[in-house]
Amino acid sequence: MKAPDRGAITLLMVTLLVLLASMVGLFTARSLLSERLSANNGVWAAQAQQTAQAALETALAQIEQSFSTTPNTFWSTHDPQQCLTAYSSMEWQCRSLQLDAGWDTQGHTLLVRVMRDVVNSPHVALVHAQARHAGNHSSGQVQQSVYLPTAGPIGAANKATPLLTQGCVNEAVAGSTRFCAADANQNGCSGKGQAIGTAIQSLYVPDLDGNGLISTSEQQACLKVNPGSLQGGALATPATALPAPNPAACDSAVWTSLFGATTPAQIQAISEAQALKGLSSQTQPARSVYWTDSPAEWSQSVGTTSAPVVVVFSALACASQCPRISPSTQIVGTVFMDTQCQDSRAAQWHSGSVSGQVALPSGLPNLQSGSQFLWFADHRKAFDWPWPVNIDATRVQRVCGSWKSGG
Amino acid sequence: MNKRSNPGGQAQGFTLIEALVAAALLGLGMMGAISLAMHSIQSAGSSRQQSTALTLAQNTIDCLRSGPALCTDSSALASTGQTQETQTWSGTLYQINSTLSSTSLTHLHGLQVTVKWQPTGNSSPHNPMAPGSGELALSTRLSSVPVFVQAAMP
Repeated sequence: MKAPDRGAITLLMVTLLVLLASMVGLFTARSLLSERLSANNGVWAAQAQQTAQAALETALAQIEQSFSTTPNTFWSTHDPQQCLTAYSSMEWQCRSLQLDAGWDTQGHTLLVRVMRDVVNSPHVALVHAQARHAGNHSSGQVQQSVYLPTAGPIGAANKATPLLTQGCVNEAVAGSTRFCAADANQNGCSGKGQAIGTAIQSLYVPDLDGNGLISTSEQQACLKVNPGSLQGGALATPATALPAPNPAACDSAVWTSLFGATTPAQIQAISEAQALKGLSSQTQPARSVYWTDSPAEWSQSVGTTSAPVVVVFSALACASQCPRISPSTQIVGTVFMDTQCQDSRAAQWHSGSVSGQVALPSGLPNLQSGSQFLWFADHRKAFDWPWPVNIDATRVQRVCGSWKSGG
Repeated sequence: MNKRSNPGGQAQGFTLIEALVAAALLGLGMMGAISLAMHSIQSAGSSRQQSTALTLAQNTIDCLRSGPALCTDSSALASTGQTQETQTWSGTLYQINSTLSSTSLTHLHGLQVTVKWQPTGNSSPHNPMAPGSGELALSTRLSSVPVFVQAAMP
């Protein structure tokens, strides 16, 4: 090989080495840029996540404040646009929450949605918060479930009777009504066994002889129903005399025995929410809570053994006399009549056919022919929403273990 | 002395020049590569510091969110509204400041955690507050809505 050739080869080799070094450098720079971007993205993602968490915390504080001041107005609206895809079926009520403006969101756009199942768990809301930054394309989202004071625990059922009153009951025509107490299978008139439970229970019986005790004759004088109507079911009354219900200050013993800590206003609010969602006996899921202020006769058959309902005739509906249930109408579940402790408001009432329990804070005089009261053990299912034991249901609380996050 | 022709003399001269050019090229290339390597080391260190600062900030928020049971600083924060601590990781000093502020809602507080550190290459490693320092801030809010935890049955 000639000397000039050796020099050219050296130059070529050096040039190649420099090129190689440049390429290595280029790839290193690219790798570094990626790492730098990754680190920045990590910071932006964390900022978005913390902002979403801040939005969630703000929403929880606002919800708590709302329920401490105006508890029954929070769920008075429904906006289907705010339902996340997984929560778009009929039972989900959704709304957005406008957060207070006095804080720095660091350029993020915030969106807070609140959703709840108005049929199966109206006392639990899913709060979903999202923070999005248009500039750096980062977003964060978090969600948390909270218990809301929209209802209360109802407690254990202790009055297993198809008719619960706070006064005397008699038939307009003896033997023309039908009472089916619980049988060995815990259902009324199932045909599988004789009644072994209580057909009628009254929380108040007049102490006619004034001796402070309720005798059998006083019990029978008050609950004057033909044995044929009772079909073997028993009568239950207090053993001792109690004060007569006072219409001027009607106590809530019957309501409490049925609904526990859930108030009339809460039942009314849930009924209105279900109506707002367009739920009815024909929808899936079916409507489960009916609160009516109308004095008109009730002629709608509602409830099934798998999905019982609760029908409440309010004090307004019972202002002069509680609405009758038309003879051909069947209700599976619970019927409560707010008679305000006045027997006259329940006089000449017709029950249709109720499978479950009818309850009222007064007597039921002149019960109309054809009225049927059939015991159904699961009648409270419509408002027996799952609550943890010992919870204080009067305040907003986070559901343990429900927090989730996403990028 | 007879002058002899040297057919390779010219070629040897060229070899020297070529070697010089090659050395210059190699030197330029190496300078670029070294500069790039230095920048890479600095950038990688900076990214690492930023990631560490982010982790520290998130840990601080999680700790303060957990309450006094898990984070002793939370009681100090609740009383004074501010806490400050320093930590050293991989030779870098990080200063963590936490500030609790009130909001328009009674049961809601704002929490800002700021982490400052001395970026790689800065000449005053023990003064994270010096100009040109690295800084990262995370803001969030804490509400006092409790978690319902069922009491264990005996």
